[in-house]
Parts: sequence; C-alpha cells; structure tokens
Amino acid sequence: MKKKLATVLMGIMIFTLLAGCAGGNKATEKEVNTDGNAAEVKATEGAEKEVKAEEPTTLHLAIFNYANMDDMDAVLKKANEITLRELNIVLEIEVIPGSSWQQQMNMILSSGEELDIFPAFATPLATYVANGQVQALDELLAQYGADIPEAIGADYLDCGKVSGKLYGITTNRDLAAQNGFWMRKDLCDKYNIDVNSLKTLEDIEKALLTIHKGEPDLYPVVPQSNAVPVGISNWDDLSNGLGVLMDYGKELQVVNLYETEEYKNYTETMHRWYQEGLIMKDVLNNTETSESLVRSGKAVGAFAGMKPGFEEQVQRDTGYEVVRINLAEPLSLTGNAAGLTWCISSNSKNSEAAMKFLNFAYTSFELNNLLIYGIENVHYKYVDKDNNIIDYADGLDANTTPYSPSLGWAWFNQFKAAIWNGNSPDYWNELAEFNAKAIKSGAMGYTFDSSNVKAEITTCTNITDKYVRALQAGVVDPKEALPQMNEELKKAGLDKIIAEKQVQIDEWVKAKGNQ
Amino acid sequence: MSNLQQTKVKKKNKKRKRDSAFFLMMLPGLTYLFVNNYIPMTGVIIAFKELDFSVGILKSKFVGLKNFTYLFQTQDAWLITRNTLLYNFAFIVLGTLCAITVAILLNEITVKWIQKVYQTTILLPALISIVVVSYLVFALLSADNGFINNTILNALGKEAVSWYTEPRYWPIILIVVNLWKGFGFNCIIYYATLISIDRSYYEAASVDGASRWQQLINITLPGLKQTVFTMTLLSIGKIFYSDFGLFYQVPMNSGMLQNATNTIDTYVYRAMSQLNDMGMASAAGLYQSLVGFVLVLAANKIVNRYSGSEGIF
Repeated sequence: MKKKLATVLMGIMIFTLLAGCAGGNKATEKEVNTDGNAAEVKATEGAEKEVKAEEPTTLHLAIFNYANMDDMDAVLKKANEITLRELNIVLEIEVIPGSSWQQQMNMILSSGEELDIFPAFATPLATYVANGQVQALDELLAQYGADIPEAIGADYLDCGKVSGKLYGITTNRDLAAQNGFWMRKDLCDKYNIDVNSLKTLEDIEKALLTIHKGEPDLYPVVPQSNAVPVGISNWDDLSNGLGVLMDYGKELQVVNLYETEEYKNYTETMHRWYQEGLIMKDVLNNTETSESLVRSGKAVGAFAGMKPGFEEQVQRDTGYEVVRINLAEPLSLTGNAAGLTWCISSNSKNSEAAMKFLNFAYTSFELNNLLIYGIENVHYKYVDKDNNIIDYADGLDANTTPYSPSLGWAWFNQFKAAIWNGNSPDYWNELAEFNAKAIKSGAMGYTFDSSNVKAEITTCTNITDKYVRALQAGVVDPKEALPQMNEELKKAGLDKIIAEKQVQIDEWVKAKGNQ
Repeated sequence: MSNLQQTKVKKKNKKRKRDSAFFLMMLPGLTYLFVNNYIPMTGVIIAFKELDFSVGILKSKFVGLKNFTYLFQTQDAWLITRNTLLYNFAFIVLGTLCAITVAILLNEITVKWIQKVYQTTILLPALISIVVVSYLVFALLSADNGFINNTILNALGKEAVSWYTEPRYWPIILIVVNLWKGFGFNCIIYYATLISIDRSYYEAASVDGASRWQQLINITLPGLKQTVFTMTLLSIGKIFYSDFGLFYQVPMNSGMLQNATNTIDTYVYRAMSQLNDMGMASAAGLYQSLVGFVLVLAANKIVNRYSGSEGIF
C-alpha cells in the first residue's frame, strides 16, 4: 500500500514538474507575443502617419560592443523612426559583447536564428563564405545598392570579394595601414634630440639609447598589450603571412616572408634592441596597452599603426605630447578592408530589404550619426555646429556615458557623421585622402581561399605561433631561430601554400583582365 | 511447468510493481541525459563532412576521413600526443599519490577545527579560475618584476632566468601548478572514503598490537583501493584531453614554450584560429574521445583481471 502511495506521489511530483516547465514556456511565449504586438502597434502608428499601407519589414541586425551601449533601446527607437519613414523597415538590433562575439555569431548563424545583417569581424569573411553563412551580394548590389560603390570607393568594395563574388561591404574607416613609431616629445627635448632628423630604425635606436641612459627606469619600447610590435610593413601578407608579396605588393610574386633579407635585418635589429635594454623585458607577457604604460610614467614609446590624427589621439590617451615617425608608406591590402565588412546572412528571408537598408545606411547622415554617437543632447551635444563638431552631452564622459561613441569604424559610414571634439574639422577628408593616396597592393581585392591547403595551414600556423612573436619582439636570436623556423615551415608544406597562392593570384589577375 | 512459468511472470510483475516508483524517479534524469547527452551525439557526423551552413549539416559534402588527416600528417603529431599523454600520466600518478597522502594525514588530525582549516585551505586553489592562476604564476615568474627572479635568485646570487622563453623548466612548472590546483578536490574524495572505513577494524588491530604503520598498510590502503581504481579509470578516459587553461593560459601562450606546452587541445585551437573549420575541429574531438573510450575499456579489463572485478563495470 505504501509502495503504491509512493508511486502515485512520485507520479504527481513529476507531472507538476513537467507542468511547471510547460507553464514557464507559455509565459515566455506570451511575452514574445506582446512584444511582437507592441512592435506592430508602433509600426502601424508610424505607417498611418506616413499613409503607407504596406506592412513594414523587420530586419534583424547584430553588432558587437566593447564599451557601454546600454541605451541601445532608446537609440534603436529613434533609428526606427528614420528607417520606417524612409524605407518602411523596422530594425531589431542585438548587441553582443565583443569578448564573446565570435562564439555567439557562430551559434546564431548555425542555429538558424533570425538574422539579416551583421558585420563579419574577427572571424574572417572567407570563413563565413566557406561555411555558406553569408549571401553573395553582386546582384542585390546592382539592383538596390547603387549608392554604395561611390560611398566607399570601388577599390575598397572589391576587398569584400571572395572567389570573384562580393560577400561583404567594408565600412569607411582607416582602410590603409602604415606602421611607425611614436614617443614622448618632452624626453626628446630634454636630451636635445632633433625630432625631424629621426627617419629610420637606426635613428630611433640612437635616440632611444640616449634617453635610456638618462632615464634607466623607463622602458624605451613597450608592446601594444600582447600584440607583436612591428616596425616594418611593406609587404602584403595575403591574409595570413604564410607566403607574401614583398615591396608593397608591386610584384605579384609570392615569396616566403621569413626568408627575405628585410625580415632578417628587421628581426636582427630588434634582437639588438632587446639586448641593449631598449625593449621591455616582459614584452611577450605584457597585457597593458602602450598608451597606459606611457601615461603611468613607465615607458617612452611604442610601435603602432599610423593614421591621420594619430598624435592627437595618443596625446588624449597618454597626457603627453608625442612625436610620430613613419617607418613605411601607407599600404592598402585586402585584409585591411576585409577586416570588417557588413554581410547579409544566408538565413535572411529579406535580403532585398536588407540591401535597400544598407544602401540607405551607407549614405544617410542622420542614421550614421545616430548609431555612432547616440541621441543629441542626451548622449552628445554640438560644440561647433558649423563644422559639425560634437562632444559628450553635459554631465557625461567616457566612463559614464550610456552610449559609447567608440564604434564609428564599425557602423556603416562614419564619414557621413559628425566629428568628435579634438579632431581637426577636416578629419573625414584627411582620412579619405589617406585611404585614397595609400599604395594599393597589386593583389588588393584578392582573397585567399585556403580550402586546398588546410592541413598545411594548421601546421604552419602552429610553427609561426611558436616563433614569430618572439622573433619580432627581439627576444630570441634570429641567427638561430629564423633558419630553424624556415626549416620547420618547409617540412610543414609552406611551399605548397605559396604555390597555391601563386596559382590563385595568377588566375585572379586573368579573371580581372577579362572583365 | 506452466505453474512455474506463471509464478515467474507473477514474480516479474510484482518486481515491476515494486520498482515502478524508482523507475519513475529515474525518468527526469534519464530524459535529461537523453536530450542533453545522447541526441547531440548525432553531431559526430560533422567530423566527416565539409560543413556548409547554407545547405545544412545533413546535405553537406561527405569527405570521409579527410578532416582527420591534419592531426597525423604533421611533424608535430608525435610531439603533441607525447605531451598530452605524458602530462596526463604524471598528473594521474602524482595527483593520486599526493591526494591520498594528504587525505591520510588529514585523517590523523584529531583537533576538529584545525582539520577544517586544512581542508578548506587545500580545496581553495581548485576554486580559483585558471586565468587568475596564470597571473599568480606570472607574478612569480615575470622576467622584470617576478618574485623568483627578483627575490629568490637574487638573494642566492644567481642569474635571472627568462622563464617564458625556456621550455625546459615548464614540465615541472605545469605539474606543480596542476597538483597545487587539483589535488585538494581529489583529496576530499579520498578523505570521505577514509572516514567511512569502520573504526572497529582499527580498534581490533590495536588490540592485536598492530603499529600505526601496519594499520595503514593493512586497513587504510585496502579500504581506499576501490575509490583509487574508480578515480583512476575516470581520469584515464580523459587522458587524451588536456586542460586547455593550464596549457594555454598558464604559459601565457608563449610560443617559445611550445615544445613543452603544446598539447592536442592547444594545437587544434591554434590551427583553428586561422581556419575556423568545424569539421576539422570535431574530427579532433571525436579522435580524442574514441581513444579515451578504448583506453577506459582496456584499463577496466586489466583492473578486473588482476584484482577480481574491482573495476567500475
């Protein structure tokens, strides 16, 4: 009898347990429903005002954030007013923390969750293409995106092409790269260093040695967090550095970077610097940014990627006036522009509306300004209306703002937006000129397809991981490490990757000539 | 004859009735296990596919064993397999010895509150995130500001060591870190077994004049045997896996240490950070679990043969 009772009780327990779960599900469903209704109500209100009979299309968009974007809902509401008015489109934006962006995007795209537009960032565009997660955009662009090529330039648009088809559209930002060195100006003045005479690594070395003698407690050169410091950049790394085009990609001859005279000289110089005490001892394990190390009075300078307005930016971040020495010409590569491109997901059922939206997004001042800087007088205020210069709204600063203006480079076209206080009023033109005047690598627009040499790449990546950071930071002697690495790379099939790249580039050139 | 059958059926029915409450109790757990652990197993087919999300997993191209080749083709295959196996072997042997020793010592402490303090202190490292551990290690080993270089080696008049570029020290460093972090947890399990050994054995032994040492050898250790077997068999199942945090975070991804720190997991991670190929990644996972599965079966068989069905199944 007791057993029977137990069975019955157990049954009831499990039933209530399951019922509990089911109830929970129902509740969330209801919530979703009311949400949907709310959006519909909003939409119909807007539509009535605009006397548009058609139901608005909802586009799902994803974006990453590294700083506070808590006010996205308010911004989105404003953005929807614009898109509803202009395009009869309603946006739903999902903000994903930058630290988990790659994993979450992988989940979203492979689970078939609704997503129309997202930036291919961190995970290479070519990978999304190989996985079939993004749509080819050529036809859509021709039909609905006529203003986009003009907005970002045909050269840079081509960088979103993989095997001849367009999959991603880059944003307007510093699309060329130029490596150089920067350091505190006050120290140069103190030790009577003529800043204008500093041109090459050797000049910098001499200057740093003088400073190092006088200021033994400062690290003369620090890395940017744990990134490898790079003082030269005159090659096209063809997406992974395994087989490159030297001399700014002028000749389309793929070679092994690590066997070139330039690389050898550079790593030897760095090793000498390291032995002379010019490079921070913990260079490989550093986690602080070079700016914060300089700000806290621990360091003199660092290697960095240059762009217009760089000195002003560093001065803001460090509190010191700095000098900048360019060590290479600005160079445009596929990789720079393809570093972040907006894509339409292959799950999207509204690809036409998505392209219409993109076309609008790359040209609209109103929308770009809103998405980048937030709402006027809530998040930002004009300090110079004529020159379009803005700053944080009253009572806000970089730490307290609920909508951080730090994603200008990721939203569609910041050249259409206002300029942040502290930059020159001509900043966007300067940046556009920097992009336009940069040397274009001969292989710009070509994207490497790794599918034939996957196994070789896995091994070679492990080998370069082993040596490259230590070599470029000067920690190891290139006389021993370089030949050793090259031997290992040879065994691992680097030549096969180089040959594959050469074949692909030759074909790419041929296809381009035929167009 | 038919009578006998009838009683058998009746007994069966009775048994079924008696146990039905237990079966019902198992149901939620089984459902969970099925949904969470068994259904996803169908995903192993990804290891044999060139995944294309636009057509879905099932319709993607079947490529046979192509996804596996990169694991064996490379010159590093031997190195990463050796590292993974040797480290795990060392962890199992040293970890078990360490945990048992400390558990026995704990058991000998008679003052309750001191015992509790030790227990907590020992368990504490197991609760610290591996990223924090990596910075604790860095605080000791940093070339510029590290405790060992600046204080200990300095005081001994020895030259500073560049820890993060010298692979030869790392097998010891990693083993020490792993022991420090892991033995507390195992120790608690062994300790729990120890206190469940019947006290009367010890009383009888001391009446018979057995020394402490004899009691340890003849009562304590045999009492622990079953737990040691179970724990070891469970670890052997994971012998082809490595603790990613320990081998990637603790050496701070320092490339120069790769010969001593690259294991199957870190190798696959480094390779996939360039390719993001799900097929190849799942191939590595499948390979690891298959080898682990075979090893567990073999180890269990050996245990059963030599100590008479003391294995876990």
